[in-house]
Amino acid sequence: MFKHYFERIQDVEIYPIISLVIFFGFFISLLIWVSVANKKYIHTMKNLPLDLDTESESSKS
Amino acid sequence: MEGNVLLEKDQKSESSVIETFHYDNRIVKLFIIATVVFGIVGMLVGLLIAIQLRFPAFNFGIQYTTFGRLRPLHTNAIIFAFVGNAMFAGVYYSMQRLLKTRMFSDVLSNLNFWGWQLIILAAAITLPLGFTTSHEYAELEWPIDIAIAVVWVIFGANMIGTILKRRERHLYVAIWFYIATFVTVAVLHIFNSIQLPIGLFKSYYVFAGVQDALVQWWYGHNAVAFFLTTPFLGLMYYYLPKAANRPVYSYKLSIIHFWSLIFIYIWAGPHHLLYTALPDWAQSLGSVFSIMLIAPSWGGMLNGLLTLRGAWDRVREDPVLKFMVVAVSAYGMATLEGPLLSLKNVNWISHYTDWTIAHVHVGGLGWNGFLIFGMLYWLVPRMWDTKLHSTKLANTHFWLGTLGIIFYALPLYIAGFTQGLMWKQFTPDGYLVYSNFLQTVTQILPHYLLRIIGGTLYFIGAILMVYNLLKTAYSGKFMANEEAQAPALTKNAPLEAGAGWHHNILERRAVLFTVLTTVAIAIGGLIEIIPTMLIKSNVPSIASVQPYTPLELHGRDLYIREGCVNCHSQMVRPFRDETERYGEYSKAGEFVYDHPFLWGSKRTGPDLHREGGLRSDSWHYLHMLEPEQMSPGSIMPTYPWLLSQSFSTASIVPKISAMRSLGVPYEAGFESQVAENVDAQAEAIVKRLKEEADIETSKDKEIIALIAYLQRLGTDIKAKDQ
Repeated sequence: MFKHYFERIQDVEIYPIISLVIFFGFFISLLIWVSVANKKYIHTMKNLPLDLDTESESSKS
Repeated sequence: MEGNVLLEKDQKSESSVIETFHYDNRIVKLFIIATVVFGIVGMLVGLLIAIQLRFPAFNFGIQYTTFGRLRPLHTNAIIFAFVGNAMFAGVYYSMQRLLKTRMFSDVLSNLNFWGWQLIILAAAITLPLGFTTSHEYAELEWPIDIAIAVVWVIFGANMIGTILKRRERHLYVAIWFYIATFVTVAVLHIFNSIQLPIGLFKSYYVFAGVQDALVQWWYGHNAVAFFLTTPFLGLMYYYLPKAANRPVYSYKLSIIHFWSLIFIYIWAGPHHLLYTALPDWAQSLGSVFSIMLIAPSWGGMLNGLLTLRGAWDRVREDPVLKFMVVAVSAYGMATLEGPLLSLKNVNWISHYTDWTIAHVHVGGLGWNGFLIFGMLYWLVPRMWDTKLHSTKLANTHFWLGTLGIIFYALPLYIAGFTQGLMWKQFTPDGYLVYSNFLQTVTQILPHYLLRIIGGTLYFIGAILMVYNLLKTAYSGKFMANEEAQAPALTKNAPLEAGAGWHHNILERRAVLFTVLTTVAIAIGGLIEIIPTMLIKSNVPSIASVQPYTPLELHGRDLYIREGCVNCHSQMVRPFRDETERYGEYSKAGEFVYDHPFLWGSKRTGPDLHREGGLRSDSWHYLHMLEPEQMSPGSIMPTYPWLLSQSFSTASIVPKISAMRSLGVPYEAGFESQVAENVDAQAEAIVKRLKEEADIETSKDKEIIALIAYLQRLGTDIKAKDQ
């Protein structure tokens, strides 16, 4: 049943090229974004689980 | 509890409001209990089937306890009951704290818990009864599949609801992993469960042969990726920093880890089908992406281990950190080994052997198991507001577990390598040195014995944990609702505009994030699957390949019921040793009527794709009754019930109609000829059994249908040769 629809897709060969472009573009932008990311933001995020402590750690395990 | 929210004006800022609320620990406790109970059950079944492989008498001669039926019970119990419940426990605890809110709805939390346990119960009943679809890690039949989808959506709704009502502006990376888990498992599960029901507990997959194989391993691989890995990476990013009491080494690395992992993982499925009849381009794609996976996986592992920089002295003393360090190391080992196994030249030796079993157990026992143990040892004292009953006992557990993993994995690595090479060894004259498959099995039986010892050590360790956790819980007082305070998220929003605007943006971001994740995982899946369905040249048709006769079709269903696929492949790879041992290599076009495909992933016994016509009917009859009589030293269970249980021809008729609607070209009105057709073929087999070995039986016995199927296997293209 799906086959029927898939068979109508024109120029399916271009799919891998498109995916490569999306892939490459996404990762380059990700790397750029991460490298210029706000230090304060990264610091906040990094400490997020620990900031929540209302109890003293290391005493219970 | 949210109804009791206490609103206080913060004196420093007019607009900030500190709210008091309560974390729901009760639901976490329930999931922890389920984790421990099903962990023990799952390990016990694993131990039993390990014993069965060395001592076949432990199949007990009962149909409900044979290896073929218990193996899926073990894998399902460990993956979905043990690891699944632990995932829910870990997610429900960490998510509330990371988002500074109680879960969205207690009702949904409870539905998630009880629904999931009912599914496990249904699995525990139906799998030994032989109700199975045969797709690995997706064996449960369609009504249970629907229940899984419903409960999973409940979990997702509860999670997204919690995100939307959070008091923390930012979504920590652990939450990202949880979201990716929810989205991807939903997509995988639904797509891999497209079945045509022909009864309450029987269905056929819509896809056949090569396409069914591709969909299944796209699912199977990503079940490992998105059920056993991504949620546990989320847990690692929360519990490891908590236990070490220091932030994760690099948050930037965790961002790259997340996006690259979910992008790449989804593509790697075809590495489970190297050298099979799957089109070459798909196999290569699978290999390339598997190699690429090393980067994010090791990035994640190093991020975890480096979090402990400067705190390694504490690792010596703290069992929680010990378990987590070994877990993360096992993650690193398994994720290096996985890509290596995806190289064709390594897979050439490793595939179908115990090497794969060793590999998955480094992941299962090491990564999942140890992270769960570490998490439980950290969680229980906190939730019961006490100290761990015995650190010494936890350390003993750690060493038993570690030794258990080593004793489990090492012998199986050697066994896999040994057997893989023995299969391929030729004499100088060009004959197989070990032409009898059984010779390569008896060779590795001592390794199976060592595996039992490894499994037992690991199991004893887990029992010690149960005792330790129980004593801990009894010594403390459980806090069902833990009080916490946090400012409301709306504190900076203009009062007039209300909370709506700010919330809108945040909500949109969370939803946008979910959409992006879905896109990331969908691209890989679609690009692999669509062309395989689409391009006809991917599955060249073979004129002589005909649909199964009704009797053979029923025999095939019995083969599925007994879980034969767990030990026997039906895929002769194009290697000289395999064509020498089994016959002509398998072609994609031979499987076009196979709903589902039965290629298998492990050869505990020989491949059966060219079994048809190799041996007499009476050999099969006597072999199923007592395998050791026909093959001395065989570790196959006995199947006496197949000789005594009967089938009804009427039950085959709907199968023909179902197959036709899936595209199998049975003639219109063929249903009316089923009885006649079955009778004729069954009578011929009964007659041959009488002539060959003076066996008295009747044509309605299950063994007759099974023999019909086995004798048909792979004969379509043999006929062409003649």
